Amino acid sequence: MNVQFKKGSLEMCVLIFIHAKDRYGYELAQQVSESIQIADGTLYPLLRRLTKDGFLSTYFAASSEGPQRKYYTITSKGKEKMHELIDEWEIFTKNVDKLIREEYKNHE
Amino acid sequence: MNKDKYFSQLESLLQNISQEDRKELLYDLHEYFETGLEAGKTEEEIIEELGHPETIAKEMFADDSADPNVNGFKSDKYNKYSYPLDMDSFKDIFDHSFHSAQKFKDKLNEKLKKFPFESYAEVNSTTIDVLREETVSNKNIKGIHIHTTISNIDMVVSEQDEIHIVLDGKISESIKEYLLFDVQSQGDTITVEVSLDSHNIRNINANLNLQVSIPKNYNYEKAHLTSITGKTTIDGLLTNVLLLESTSGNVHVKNSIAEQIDMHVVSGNIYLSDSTAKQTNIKVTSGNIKMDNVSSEHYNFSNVSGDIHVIDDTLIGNMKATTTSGDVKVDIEETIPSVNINFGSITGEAKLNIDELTYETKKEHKIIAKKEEGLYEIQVNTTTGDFTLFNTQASKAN
Repeated sequence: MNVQFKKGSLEMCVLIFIHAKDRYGYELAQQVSESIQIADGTLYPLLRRLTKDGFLSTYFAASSEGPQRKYYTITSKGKEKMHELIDEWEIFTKNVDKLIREEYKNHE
Repeated sequence: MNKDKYFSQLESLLQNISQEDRKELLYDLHEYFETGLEAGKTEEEIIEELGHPETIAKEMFADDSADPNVNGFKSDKYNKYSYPLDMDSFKDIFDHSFHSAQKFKDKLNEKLKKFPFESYAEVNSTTIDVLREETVSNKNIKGIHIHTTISNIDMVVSEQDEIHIVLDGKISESIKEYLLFDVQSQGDTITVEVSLDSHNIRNINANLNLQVSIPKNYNYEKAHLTSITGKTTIDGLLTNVLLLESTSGNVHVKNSIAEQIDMHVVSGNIYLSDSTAKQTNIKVTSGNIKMDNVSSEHYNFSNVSGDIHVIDDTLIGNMKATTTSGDVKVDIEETIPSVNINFGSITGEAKLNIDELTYETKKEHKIIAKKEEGLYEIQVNTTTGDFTLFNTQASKAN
């Protein structure tokens, strides 16, 4: 898939995944790569930035498999950001869908 | 490349980022490695999944340059609305959406105390009545797809052979020309769409109800409902698959039969009553899930902040529930047959009120228990939520 598409939506997807459930990095990476194919490692710089910007925070807890893991959780600022991104995304995709439907498919 | 080589290469590439960023990133990647190894992967496989050190380092720098605080340049990327306090006009507020203005208001708390937001919201309050109707044939129809961004959905059964769709209610006069009501019958699928064909709309009133009457006792293959805002009610639906996605709004499904129910709601309560589904998957971000007299062979619940409450005469199925802060409550009125219970939590606790339970593990936040041979599985995982399993009969006997 087009790498620019992935880039544009990754931040939103990460916020949505963490909003649904607190997750540790590996778990999140597995989840994300089910819907967006990325090199798992590139997720961490993004997590770092989202944490620095106050959209995520981290804590350590024992995982269901046993060992301690660093869990990412969403902050209220992060939730706000997520809603903003979803709103923008919905408007954007709707417009693009419409464009494809009306301008492309009709003139093919 | 092996793990050591990978990290030494990465470390040398990350020399120019702050010590803290480097430390956090390397920690995360180490943890990823450990988890991968525990999952049975080889170092090579893990490296393959992680991507080349250069890719990661490049990403780290790309993010850094996007950081507003780098190079002394404060672009306020995420604080678009922190304008100077001495702004002498509030005109700018009108250029933002109401939501953004609300944020703006928070920032300028003192100054904005008397700002008449309420009257701003009432600007477009003149409403008009809406009534649109369509009737389509249900002959050979297998699927129903309902998509609405602005109305409630009310699905009911009728004695008629056709599908009758009515949209009624009130909307702001200013948006009447943008209201889209579209019913299409294509192949074996009927699609109903209600939306606003314009995006630059704010402070509107819309109180719309979309009623879809379907023939009684007709078995659909798939019913797919999506809704952005508004409540959804389904009464008497017969379908192989019910797929329901809602962004905000409560959902009530009753007297319905499905092979599979999948619901995904961001915020809103879900109430399922007097229904049957082989497989029930429900995912809610914030909102409660309640099941009353529903028989399902497999329940799969996932909830972040709301509670999960299951009430039934007996338990004849497996249940898997995951919540972050919500509680999980199961009330069984008559008998609890043979069951395996597995509960795990970080700070939540479990109270199990059932007879003849044998515990394999009984700790504060972890319980593994069994009744008889353990025919059904109940698995509950929470972060802070509690779990209670209550058997009315057992408590009476006690």
